[in-house]
Amino acid sequence: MRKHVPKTPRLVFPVCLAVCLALLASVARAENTLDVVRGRGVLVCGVNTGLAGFGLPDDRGLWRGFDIDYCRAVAAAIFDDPGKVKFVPLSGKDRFTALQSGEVDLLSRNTTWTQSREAGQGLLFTGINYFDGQGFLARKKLGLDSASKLSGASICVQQGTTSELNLADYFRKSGFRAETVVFSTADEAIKAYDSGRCDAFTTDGSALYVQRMKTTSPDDHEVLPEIISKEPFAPVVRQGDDRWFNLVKWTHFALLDAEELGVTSANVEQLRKSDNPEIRRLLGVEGDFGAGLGLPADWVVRIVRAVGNYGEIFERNLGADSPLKIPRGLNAQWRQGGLHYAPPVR
Amino acid sequence: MKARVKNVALQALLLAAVGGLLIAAVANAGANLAARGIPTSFAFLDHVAGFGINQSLIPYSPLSSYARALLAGLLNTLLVSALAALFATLIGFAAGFARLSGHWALSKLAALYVETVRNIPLLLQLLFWYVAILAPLPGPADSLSLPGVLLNNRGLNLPAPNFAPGAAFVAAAFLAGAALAYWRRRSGGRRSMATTALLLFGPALATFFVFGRPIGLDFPVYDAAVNRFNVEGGLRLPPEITALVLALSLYTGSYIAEIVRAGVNSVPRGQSEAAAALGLKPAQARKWVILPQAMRIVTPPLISQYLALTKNSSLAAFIGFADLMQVSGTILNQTGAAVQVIALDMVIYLALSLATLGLLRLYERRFHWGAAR
Repeated sequence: MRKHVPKTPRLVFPVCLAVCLALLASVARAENTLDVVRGRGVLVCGVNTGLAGFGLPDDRGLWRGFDIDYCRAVAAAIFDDPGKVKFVPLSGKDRFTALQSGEVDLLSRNTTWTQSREAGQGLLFTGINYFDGQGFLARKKLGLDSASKLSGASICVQQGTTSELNLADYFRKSGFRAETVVFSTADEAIKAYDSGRCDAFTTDGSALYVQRMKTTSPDDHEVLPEIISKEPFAPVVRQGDDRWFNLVKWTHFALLDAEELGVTSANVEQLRKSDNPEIRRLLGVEGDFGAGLGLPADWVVRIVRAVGNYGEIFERNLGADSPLKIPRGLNAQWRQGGLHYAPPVR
Repeated sequence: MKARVKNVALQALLLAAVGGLLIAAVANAGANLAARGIPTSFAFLDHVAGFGINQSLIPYSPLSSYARALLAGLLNTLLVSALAALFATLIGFAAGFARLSGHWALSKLAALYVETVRNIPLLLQLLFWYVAILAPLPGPADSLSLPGVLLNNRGLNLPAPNFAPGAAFVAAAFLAGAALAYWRRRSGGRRSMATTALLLFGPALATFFVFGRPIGLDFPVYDAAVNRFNVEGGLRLPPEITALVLALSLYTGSYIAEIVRAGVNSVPRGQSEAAAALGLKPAQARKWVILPQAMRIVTPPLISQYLALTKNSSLAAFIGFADLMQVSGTILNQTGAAVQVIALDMVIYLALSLATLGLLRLYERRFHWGAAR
């Protein structure tokens, strides 16, 4: 090749580009997320652009929240260091594309598990970590005691969410007509609602309380009693990497199992001497349950030491120890009347 | 000769390389998407969209298909672009001539407008206008009203024509009358205004009453008993579209003003002096001497502004207006068909730009601007 066109450096560039791209493409095909993350030395986690309680940077720029702690738990399991996470804030619209394209390793962003998102978009939801449902925020002075009285109203909603679809469904089911005004972010939607553009604002129940705080006078607004949908949130990974899927899924189960067995960040070290065989297996004292996940035997110890168990994460970010004061409700352990039921580590 | 052959061969090689690269990229993307279980076809366009669009020029409901949702978004983009292009041209030409005028205050005001507006990011202006429109307006219950018109923070409500069965006959009668009047004038009949008017409106009016007044006006009404939240009936211009058109026209207008100023300044001063010497008044000189010469210079950059305006209209998603980008963003998110949806968007915007370009080239040729050289 070089012999025939010695004086044409112009041609070298496109040819090089073609070769490079072809190489790049073949590398991208053989995927092993755990090795990629280990090689990079940091986990890249897609999170909310800013939703108090789930994912929001604090005044020192440190990310905090329920979804953030899930990212930290995975990082702790891999690196024994919850700080080795790079957070990528993603809008509702862009989150799946970012995950599909490999921009993030894991999507932990109050994302509802639906059939089409999983089967139709090449994604896998690793396990429900928060049971939510969609509700409405409206002005108290309207005196609405039910969402069923919203017929003919204008309703603000965020784009690219299940909320947008549930809203259309809800009005279709009840035979109502309503104007939906769709904004690209939740912030713009709540601002428009606050300025009077809409009669109601709709999103997941947990976020309604957070967004209400952003209105000019939160006390003038009320959350209507109806829950119009099921919104099971789960961390999401790409299809095609079962090992990585298992690792994220079992990080979630380990957090639940730890809570069920009473293992907390405070007592995890001393419980390693426990006689309870379930605790001994969970903490890697008996058997090596980390190996199958590509992790060391003490993987659960690493997780719980870093972020605590599920209950601690919940209370710290959303529950009694947070400004949101959301009750456990459906998110309690199955023995306490909730829905969380993790398979055992054995 | 030898050099030329070599040159052609090299160019062919380059084209082949780029083409090959493109084909390889498409094939590779397709294979990778399929391997990850992401849809690779356009079949999703027929599926039910499931989401609502608050402003649509065509009948649309959440039960419509994704393709129809895209079409509704496209029409909204076209509507906003056309309106904004019209207003931007009016504002731009007015401000451009104002800035050139000898009137000191007018000239400075125009300069202030141009320098302020074109130096502030468009998105910021868009958000500003949206809030500026929403904030002072009352809710629907306390709408500001003129006879038949209601203004509130949900939009400007105007009376809308409504058509009952039979309306088509009235329209047909009007067309027939118009054709008759036209034919009469062409065939050199006596040009009486009264006869023309009679021919034009007579058949339509007769049909109108024969069919029991099938065309009427639907007035917007606020009645808490019917709908306590919103005004019902009539035609509604939501604040989103108003803010978008306002922001786009003012922003693009500031650029057009500068283009007009540059165009007029580029016409040699001798031309206006010659026009004055011939006894033309300044307004006449502007119209017959300066503008035709300036337009030759103004048209190409003007085209770029219209193209930029159409593309800038995609900022609509920030203020909740369902334009092409906003609708396709939702579709992309729901179907996961990112590559297809973005490709469709690109093709549509490209087609819009080429169509705009074609129209303006036609206009240029028609007036022989640019063709003279």
